[in-house]
Parts: sequence; C-alpha cells; structure tokens
Amino acid sequence: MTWWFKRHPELLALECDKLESNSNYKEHARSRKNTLISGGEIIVRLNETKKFPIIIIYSESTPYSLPFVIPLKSLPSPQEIENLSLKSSGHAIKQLNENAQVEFLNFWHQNPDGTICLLEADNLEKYGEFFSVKEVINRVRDWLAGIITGKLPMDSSEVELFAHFRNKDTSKEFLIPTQFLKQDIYQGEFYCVRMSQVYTRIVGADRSIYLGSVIVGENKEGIRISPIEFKEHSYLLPEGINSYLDLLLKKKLLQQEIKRGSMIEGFWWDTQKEIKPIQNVNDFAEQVGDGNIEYGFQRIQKLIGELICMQKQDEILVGIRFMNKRNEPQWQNFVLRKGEVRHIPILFNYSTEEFKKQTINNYHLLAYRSSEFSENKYHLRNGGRVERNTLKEKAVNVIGCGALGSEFADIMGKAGIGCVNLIDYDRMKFENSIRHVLGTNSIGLYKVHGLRNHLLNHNPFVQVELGPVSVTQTPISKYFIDPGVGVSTIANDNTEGFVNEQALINNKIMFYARALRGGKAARILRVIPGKDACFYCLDLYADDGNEVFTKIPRDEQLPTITNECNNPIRPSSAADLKLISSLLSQIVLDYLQGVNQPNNHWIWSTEAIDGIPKDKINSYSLKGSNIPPHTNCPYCQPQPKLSVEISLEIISFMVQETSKVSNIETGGVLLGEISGDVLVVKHASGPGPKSDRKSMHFLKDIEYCQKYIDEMYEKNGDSAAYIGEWHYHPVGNNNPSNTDLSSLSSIANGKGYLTENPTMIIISNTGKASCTIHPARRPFYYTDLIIKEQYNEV
Amino acid sequence: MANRAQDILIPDTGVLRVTFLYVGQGEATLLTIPDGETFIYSLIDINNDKTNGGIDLSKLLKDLLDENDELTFINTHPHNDHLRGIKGIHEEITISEIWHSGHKPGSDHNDAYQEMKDVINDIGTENEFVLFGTNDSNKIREADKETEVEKKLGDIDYVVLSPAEYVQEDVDDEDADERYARIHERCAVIKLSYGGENAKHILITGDSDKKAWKEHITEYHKNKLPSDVLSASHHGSRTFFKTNEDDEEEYEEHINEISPDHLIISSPKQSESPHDHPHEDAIELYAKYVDDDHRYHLGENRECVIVDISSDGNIEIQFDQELVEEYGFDSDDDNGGSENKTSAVFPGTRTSRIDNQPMGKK
Repeated sequence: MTWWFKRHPELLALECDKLESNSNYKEHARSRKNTLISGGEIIVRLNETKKFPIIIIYSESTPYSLPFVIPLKSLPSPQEIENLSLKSSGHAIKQLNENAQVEFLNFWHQNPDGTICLLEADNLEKYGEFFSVKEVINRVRDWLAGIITGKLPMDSSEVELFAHFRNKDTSKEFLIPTQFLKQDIYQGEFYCVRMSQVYTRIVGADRSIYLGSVIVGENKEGIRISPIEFKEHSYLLPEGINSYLDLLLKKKLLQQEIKRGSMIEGFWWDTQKEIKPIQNVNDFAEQVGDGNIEYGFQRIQKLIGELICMQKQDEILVGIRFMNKRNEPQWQNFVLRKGEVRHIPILFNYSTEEFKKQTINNYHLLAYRSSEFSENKYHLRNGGRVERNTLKEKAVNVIGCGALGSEFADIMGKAGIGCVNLIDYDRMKFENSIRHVLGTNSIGLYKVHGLRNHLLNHNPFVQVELGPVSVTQTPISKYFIDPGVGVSTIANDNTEGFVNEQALINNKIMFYARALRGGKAARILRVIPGKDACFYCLDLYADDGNEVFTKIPRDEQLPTITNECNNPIRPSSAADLKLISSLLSQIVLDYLQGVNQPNNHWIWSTEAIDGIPKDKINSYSLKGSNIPPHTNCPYCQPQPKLSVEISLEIISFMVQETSKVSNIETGGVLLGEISGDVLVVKHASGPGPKSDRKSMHFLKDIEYCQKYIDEMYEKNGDSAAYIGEWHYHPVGNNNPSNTDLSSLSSIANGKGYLTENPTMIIISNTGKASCTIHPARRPFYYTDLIIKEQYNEV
Repeated sequence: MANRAQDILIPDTGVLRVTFLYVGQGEATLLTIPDGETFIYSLIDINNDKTNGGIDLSKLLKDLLDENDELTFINTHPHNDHLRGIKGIHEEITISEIWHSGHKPGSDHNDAYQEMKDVINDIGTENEFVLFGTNDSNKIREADKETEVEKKLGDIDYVVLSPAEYVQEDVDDEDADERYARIHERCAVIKLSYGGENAKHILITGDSDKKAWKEHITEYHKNKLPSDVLSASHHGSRTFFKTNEDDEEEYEEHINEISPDHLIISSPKQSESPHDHPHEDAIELYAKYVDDDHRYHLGENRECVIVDISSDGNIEIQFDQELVEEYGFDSDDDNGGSENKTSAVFPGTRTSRIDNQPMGKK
C-alpha cells in the first residue's frame, strides 16, 4: 500500500489546517493510520443552529479525488475514528454501513453508501482552482442548510438521479422523449419500445434499452385525452404495430410483443413536488400524493388496483413525472416487483386500505435509470463546437461510403447534421470491417443500409437518406440534397471527374478527400463553383507544373494491394483513415457553420517528403492553401457572352417568309457555327409544309426541318450545325414569350439538340429582329444581332 | 461577466446581505441592501491596511460595483482603523454620499480624517450627512448638524443610537488619549433591521465604550437594543465592559439588553493585534451571552462572515475565505490566511510518526 500523505506531506498539512480552521466544521477527532479520517460536526446557523455529525474519509487517490463525507447518526468517538483509520477508505465506509452508523437523509446527492456527492454542480471548476476539504465542507454545509430551508443548491442539468437510489434495477433502462413531459395529461398508461439489447455474455447481465413511444391517459378533470405518440422513431416498432390505434386494436399482438420484451407497458402519474430518492412503495405513494400518502395510494389504485390486488403481474412498470429544482418536468421509472406473497389475492371490492396492504406487503420498488431523450440534451455535449440549430438545416451528401466515407458519415451524424444522404453501391465484405465503421454484423448488407442503421443508432435525430446506386449513372440533380454540400471520398479519378463536372454545372458545393501514400498523407479540397479550383483545375495546374499545386508522389513501399473490378484497394490503417476523416469532418463542419476559411485546399502528412519544401508538406502537419480556378478551366471560368452574326440575305429571307403569312406565325431552324464569341448564322430554313401556324402559335414541320438539317450538314459539315430557331410574332413585340423561353430551355438542356447555347431570332410585325441566347442551366440573355452584307447560301 | 466579489457579495433578490469583511486591525462592514428588484451598496467603516493580510477594499469594491452603482459610506468615528483608505476607494468607484459621526479627531488620526474631508469636498456637502442618536427610524442630519432628515437605505430600516453630541473643538489640557476616548464615548452606534414582521436586527457598535453605553445609550434606547447579531465593539476590546484592565466594575447591562445570538469580532489573530484584540477578559464576558459556536472572530481563520436576512426574516450565517484569498493584501504570499497557524489541534496526524529503527555496523 502506498499512502498519499507520504507522497504529499505538504498537502496533508494544508488539509489538516483546513479541517481545523473551518467555521462551518467543528472537528472533534482525527486519526491518520492507513487512512486520514476526521470526525466532527457541520454547523448550520439559520434561525436555529443545527449540528450534523459527519465523518470525512480521505481516499487513497487523494489529491486526485476529493474526500468522502458521510453524515452519521451520532458523533463518532476518537477511538472509533482511530479504529476506522486503520482500514482503507472503502472498508471504513463499508464498516460504517454495516454498523448502521450512517444517517440517510433521504435527499438527492447522498449515495447508497451514505457518501455525499456534491461535485456535479456546474461551477465547481470556476476560477480554475483545485478543490480542498474546505470547499467540500462548505458545499456539504450548503446542502444541509438547503435540506432545512427547502432551498437546495441548484443541480447541474446532468446530475444523475439514478445513482442516488438505494434500491435499483439495472436490467432495463428508459429513454424518455420530450413528448412525455408535456403537461396536458395527468396520469395514465405509457408504452415503450425496445431500442437495443445487450446480452449477459457481453456485459454480465441482460440489459434492454427502451424508448418511450406512446403516452396516454386523462387530464386532471378525469377526461381521457388523445394519446401523444413519439413518431420520429417508429421504425423501432414491431411489425404490425404502427400507432396507438394498433395497440388498442391488436391486443393479442401487443401481448405477444410484451412477452417477447420488444414492447413494455407502464402506468404513470404526474406530481408537482420534486422527487426524493424513493426507496419503497410508501415513498412512492407519498410522491404520487404530493406529500399525502393516502391520496397517493388512491391515485395508484385507480390505475393498477386490479393488477395489484389480483396479483396479475409479477412486475409492473410505473413512472412518475415531477418538477425538478430547475422547475422543469422530469420523468423517473420504477418497477413494482412481486416479492414473497404474504397476502392472498383479492378479487372483488377491495378498499384502498386493502390495496395499500397488498402493495406494501407484496411488492418491492426498484428504480430504473430513466433519462430524458430530447434533441437539445442529446446534442448538448457538442455545444459551442458544432451547433445543432445551425446544422439541422443542412444536408451533407456523402458520396462513397467506404472506410473513409463511413467514418466521415459517422461524424456528421454525431454532429447533428439535419440530413445525411448516403451514396454508395457496394456491399460490406468481411475484410471491409477492419477499417470500416461497420462491423462483421453488416457483412452482405449494402454499406448504405448498414451505415444508416449505424448513424441512427448514434443519433436518432438526424435524417438519413439513401442516394442512388451509382453516381456515374445518375445526374447529380437527382440525388443531391440541398442546402448543403457534397463530400466525395471515392478516390477514383474518373468518377470524381464526372462528379466534379456535374457539381460545377449544377452549382453544387463539393469537398473531395483522398488518402495518399498508404494513408500517411491526404489531400482535401473544397470546390465552390467559380470560386475555388475544381478537380479539373488541379489537373490543369499539374500539367502546367504550376507550384500552386503540390504533387504528392506515391510511396513505392506501399503499393496497391488489389484491384476489385477497377476499384484499386490501397493500404492504410484505420488510424490513418480516422484521422483523415476527422480532419475532413472538421473542415466541412466549419464550412457549414460559416467559419471563415481562408483556404480551399489542405494537405495532411505524417512525414516530410523528399523534394517537397517543408512549408508545403512536413511531418504531422496540415498545410492549407488557397488555389483559385485555373484560367483555362472550361467549368470554372465564366462563359463569355455570345453575339450573333447573320447575313442581310438570310434576314431578308426570313422577313420575306413573314410577309407571306402576315397574320400568323412562321419560322424555322438556324444552322451555322461558333467562331470565338460569335455565333454565325449561315443557313435558315422555312417552316415546312406540315408546320402548324396560327396567330400566336408556331410548330415547325419536324420532318421537313430535320431533312434540311441533315442535308445541309451532309453538304457543309460542321459549319452547318444546328444553332437555334427563328420565328415571327405577327402580334405584339419581338420579345420571347414564356412558350419560347420554355422551348429554348428544353433545346439547351435536352439531349437531342447538340448545343448548350441555342440562339433565337424573333421578327416583329414591323420587320424588326430580336436576338437572344439561351445557355443551358443559366438565364437567357439578349445579344447583338450583327447583320452582314455578305451573301450566304439559303 | 461576474467576478468573485459579485459572486460572493450579491445575494438572491430581496435578501439583505451584511458582510463583515476581514480587514486586519480595523473594521469594515459591507451592506448589500435590497432595493426592490435590485440592490444598493453601503460600507460602514473602512480600514485599507496592508498589515495582517486584510482585504484590499479598493480592489474588492471596484470588482463589485458596476459602472452605474454607487456607494454610501458610513463612518462610525474618525479613527484610522475605521477610516483609512477612503480616498483611494473614491478614486476607484463612485461614493455618492458620506454619513459620519460629526467628530473631529486628534492629530494622530488627522490624515484619514482629511481624506474623508477631501472626498466630501469632491461630492459636495449636499451629499454629506451626520449621524445623531434618536429613537426614530431612518433619521439622520444634514451637514449643518441641525436639520433632521428622513432618509431610507433601500428596503431596510435603521436607527442611529449614538452619538448624542459631536466632539469638535479641543478641550483645555486634553491630551490625545483623552480625545481618543472622548470620541469612543461618542462613537456612532447603528442598528439595522430587515425582514418584515419577523425582522432581524444587526447592531453595529463601532468602538463605543463602557461609558458611552452606561451613560448615553443603554438607558435611552433600551427597547431598541435587542439584536440578533452584534458586531463586537472596538475589535473585541475590554473597553466595551470595562474602563481598563483593572476596572473591576464590569458593565453588562447593555449586552444583557442586546441579547445577541451571534457575535462578530473584527480583529486579526490576537497574536497579530498591536492591542492584543480581542481581549481575553472581554471574550469571557461575551461567552456568558454568546456560546462558542456563535462567536465569530474574523482573524482566527482570516475570513469574512456573511449574514443574510430574507424579506420574511429568516437569517443565515455563512463564512467566506475566498474574498481574503482573492483580495487580501498578501494573497499572493503563502504566509497569509488560515495556513498561518502556529499550533495544530491534532499534531499526530500531520507529522511523521517514528519508531525504533536499529542502526550500526552490527
């Protein structure tokens, strides 16, 4: 045995000083054999002065743990203190309990062994100072004063009530949704659904976690009111039970599920007083009766009188909803467990007195751990770093759910992203588990299915969507969920090249991350279209040999392990991938929360690399830089505005066509080529004989125009490609109508017309021509129509 | 953002908090007074004294008072150990009013007195008030020492029991000691009350002595004397009961009438006090009326005593060492505070326990 006071004699002296010189504590005896123990009284000076005998026992791990303080029934003698001091702290506490010397005050913060725990309070660490027995004594004094005045010191919001029950059962644990805390209903029934189960072989005893699902009952006036259902997690409900109505209508199924343990039924009461550490049925009735035991039994009898008196169940789940010190509603579950039956069942006409006897004599009361299951509480620990209220409005599209992507998705779920959209086509293989967030119990499942389960298991408050099987087969607009970002960890140049193109065209913000050099390095990049260098820009920079892009050479010692259907498997450990996914996650979370990021490109490395300056890559460093779009990148550079050139003859032809019809529309197709920023119209067709022409409607003769296009192309090649449409507005001006805009948009975006910048010329009834360009996925614009004298074929 | 002074000295809404501050050989009592939903502050006496690790009141009050807060300073008598440092405080915070005993001290105490005069000059005589014995609540006098005014201190009540006369001009052949004693005889005594029908009372006695009580106070204010908390006069000096050490006519009628539940003694450890305060013979006399558990000697553990009285008259006594640790003049040294003990209560628990260990070649 090593003694803390031998290692820290100066601390011993300080603690002794504080024991002797605390006006709240009158020390009567102290001994230091194997354990330092002090006995005395805490003096609480209120309208009357009260003295509480206590014992202070220093733990072997002093000063890394605070001394134990235990209220006693009477002041211990110096001899008793000395005898206890021969023992270890644990044995001394045990002996006090065995000798029944401990005074149980029946208030929160006294543990089942009598020790007082007052260390949960929020401000214990304020001013960053170390706590000594002085503070412990003062805190105990305040607690004892609070017991007298009824004004106990405020608990932290995370104080654990369960630890303070002396009689408890750990086989079940309950998560109570906030819906259960709404004040409309006063007493009634509740139903919980099993979330998970852990078996004896893993934790030493079977344990089931239940989530509150439905609460029902009556209000204070005794009127039965509508049930409140916790629908967000209905996926946990057993098959065939989808609502409270099913519980009512499918009694047999419900009983089967209760028998199987997948559901549980309980009874509950609302009370106003703060709950005390209830130890038995009488305490429970006192709580239910807001201090009046008889009234409490009457309320209990109303709901479970029959179950108790007829002894129908060995166990009855009961709950209390109460107002805690912070004046917030809170819930605590217990089990009434039938013990040795000392009274025979009563079948009819039992009085409250008989019911009371039956309950007290036949049932034990044990507490279950019951925790509030609310969105706020769930995300509390993220507070200050990742704000749920900001992130719940965002979506993250996880493109690729391999080892890196799954770790990233896991962190996004835990961060409380509103929607995590999982996109991957692969199934789990057993060898994936060595690095993947999923384990062998997901072998054979689609990764997205396993991962969805995993994410919801960690954070049921996030929405998890499943994207398409393959991103190369699906346009990004079909699966990308806004507002948010996409994050690709596919690590395949071709696929990511396509994703990059799709994302840029559709104005989607992307992040790409890839482990390099066997996981010893990584590259992470952000692409805000038009602002950051895109995937293609980096290729251009690499080809240029531009230093803005740092090429990272392969590590030849860590070659590709295998190639699965063109999917290269490269080595890297889970440690590498977790680290990289964490870096990626933090960068993405910062972006989503609006943190100002001067960089859009990051290189992580665990080592310096020969030939690369250390300010770019160094050991255990993350180097950030900002790479602008490449000037030659067709995706990133703004599209130049096109003008349109046409010969006088073609325009004359079009005007001539309009004069043939005067009061109805006409038109045709335009052929030509693009020359720099100029779209040159070289040919124009007429409407064709089967065209549909009305005063405000024109449909060209498809057969005729198609033949015209094909023949002209045959004859002139690329200089006679389809470039747009022309038509005549006999009524009104020559601005494009909604019909015109819609058609040109279809032409620009549709797969049939081989142009993304079709033009449209509209002739008005005064012979004036307007000209517009209709770029794919962008707004149309008016442009100059340059009329040349030069003759062109018609 | 709250600081330690605010954490400790500002109570819950509606509670009167009277904090007897440890200031070494002197006295300073801070009143945090409920005023509707908020608080006002008053300080009775001050001793900003660097010896004995007392609290640096300038530092403490600067932390405690927000920009818009003001302090009413009340002086029981113009002696250094009750007035030292007033100017320094005025430089740090806003003193809005000064209430004082109207006395002029001898030359030994002139510096501190002049400091107070300077502050009065600064705040204007319209904010100067003078204490005068009365049986009426909340009455003091204007600076002319004649005009009586009713003046509330937030939501509490007070009665000024003394002085009944002002010590001003020198008396022929009076030496410094005699003048010093004359001021103690005419020292201000103030009773504070709060708590509605079950009001609790705190009696602040300054350095008032036996003569003051026997000849001027007890008889005239008998029904005003009963108090729950008594601040021991003159730092626990015997002069409350006796003229001097040899005086065998111990006067106890006053404490018998006061009948306190709690006694506060504002002095350093007896071994540190230049006057051996608190006096043993005084403590023996106090002990007849207030038991061990209810006599609080601030210097014993270098701590402050906090007395809370709620609006419904409930009282609570607490102790605080953090203010001394944070604001004490030698708080940065290791030789201050309760660690500065000279004798241990249970020495066997803190020293090495040796046994017979043989030594030698064989």
